[in-house]
Amino acid sequence: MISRKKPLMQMLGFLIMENGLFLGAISLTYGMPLIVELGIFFDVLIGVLIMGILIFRINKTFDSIDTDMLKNLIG
Amino acid sequence: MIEYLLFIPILTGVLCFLTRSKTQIEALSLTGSTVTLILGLNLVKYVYQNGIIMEWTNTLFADMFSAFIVLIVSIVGFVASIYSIGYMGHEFKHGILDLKKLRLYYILFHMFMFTMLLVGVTNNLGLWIAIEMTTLVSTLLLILYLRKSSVEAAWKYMTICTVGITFALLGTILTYYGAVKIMGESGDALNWTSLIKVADQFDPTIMKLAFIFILIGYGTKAGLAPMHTWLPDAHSEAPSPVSALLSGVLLNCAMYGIIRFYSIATKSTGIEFTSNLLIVFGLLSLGIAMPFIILQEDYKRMLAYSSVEHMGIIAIGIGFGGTFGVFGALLHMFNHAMTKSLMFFGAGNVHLKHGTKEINKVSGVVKSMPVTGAMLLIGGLAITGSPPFSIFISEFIILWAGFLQGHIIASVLFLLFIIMIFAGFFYNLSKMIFGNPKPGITTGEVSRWTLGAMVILVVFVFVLGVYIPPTFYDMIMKVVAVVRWDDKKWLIFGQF
Repeated sequence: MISRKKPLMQMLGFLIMENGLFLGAISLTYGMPLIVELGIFFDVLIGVLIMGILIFRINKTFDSIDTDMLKNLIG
Repeated sequence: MIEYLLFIPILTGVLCFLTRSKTQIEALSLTGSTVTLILGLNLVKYVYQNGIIMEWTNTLFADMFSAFIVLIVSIVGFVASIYSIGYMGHEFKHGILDLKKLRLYYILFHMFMFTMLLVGVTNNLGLWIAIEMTTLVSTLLLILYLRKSSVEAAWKYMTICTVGITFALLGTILTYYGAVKIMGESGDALNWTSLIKVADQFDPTIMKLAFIFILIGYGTKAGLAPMHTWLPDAHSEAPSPVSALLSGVLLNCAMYGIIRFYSIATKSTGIEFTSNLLIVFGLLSLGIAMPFIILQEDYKRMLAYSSVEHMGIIAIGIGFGGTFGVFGALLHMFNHAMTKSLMFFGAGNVHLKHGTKEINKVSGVVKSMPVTGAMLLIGGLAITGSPPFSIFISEFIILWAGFLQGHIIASVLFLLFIIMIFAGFFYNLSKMIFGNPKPGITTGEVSRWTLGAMVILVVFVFVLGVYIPPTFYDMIMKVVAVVRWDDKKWLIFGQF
């Protein structure tokens, strides 16, 4: 995730992390309680949706989806 | 009782879809937040008198600590909704936002309130879900303006916070793993109320690992130092009422997660481990925020770094421990929420008037906007910890606890950083407040609504500085008992 410059790749990195966590949770504890699983699923779904909107916005405002453009706010 | 409190912000948000004019939206939003405030205060009163409440087959609950968070959320939310009318009204009048955007703003505002209330009343390690939801909603609030800088800030906020909070999920899973070993496979194994009863039987190694992950994860959201990089961007690019909510309330919600885990983890790992971690991260926050405050050129960023500093102070207070340390930290949470919101409101007024966020381009605020200027001065004195105001009291108590518990080096460093921050912050603020107004700036306030909101907060800042009402004191003492968990009777009898 750190080495990638495209926001799309960063988003995929996030999804892979979540996948790994779910696998970890299942192997450690036979899965979390249902309500928690559902909640996490919902959050990740909405999160990825919003990241999609953001990528669209980045593309529209900066004319490219390269995170190198995103370094105006420092200090 | 709790479900009504959660239902009202959602209802207000949904009803906002149906509104047709600016006045309707504002009236609806104000009514919604007033009802939320009343229900919130009612909940606090009920919990204060009758002890813990459990609802919806133990999914929702409220003990004194939850009630304390609900109190902060509902007060700041109410004040921010008053302020929004002035601030957003001004933006609307100058054509920066259209009616659709304005409606979207109020819908998201109330959804944001809902998610923050949910953080307080979840009886579950699924607290993670609520905190993640706050990130999602506030990201949408950030990109309201669609400026280049706000899109950038939103992307940074979103990626750093979601990834950071993933670590907290790992910590939660580890805690659940520890709990399943003791209590077996059950839905209750993630509930605070059942976890705290068996907290001393946890495997210390697992709990240590879990606490580190939780501290990093929720610490990212709370803006503790090495993970704070998103905070100045997000807080300075958001509209001012949202900045106030983000700084004053959301950071406290994340801190709430850390403190909950602290009270569970401490039982098995021993107090040194958790305390030292919190003190180290707290001091790091103070130390890193200091140079950025002194050399800052943008006043909203300066306030954001000051939030990093204050979260550090709260972490240090919890880390010092003892009744006094925790009491000071909790009082500091409340005081910081009030004072920082006041400062962001003042900064918002200055921003509306001058159209710039640079400190050097603003001067003579006290002459061009007498009331805002005076309140910014009060807020600035208060936030840096000057005597007659509320933050002085809580910082003093934390420092006292530090010396009392024998953390001499940490206390001295803490004092040193605070003094330097005071000097830097006040130097920058006085450049803005005093002097003559820049040419082209007319005299007069931006809007009466914004002043009304600030007056309410100034009252809190003043009163708590000189006098802590006995009920309030008693309430915080009950929260301290929840955090330190001295008194097991409280859970058994459902009463303090």
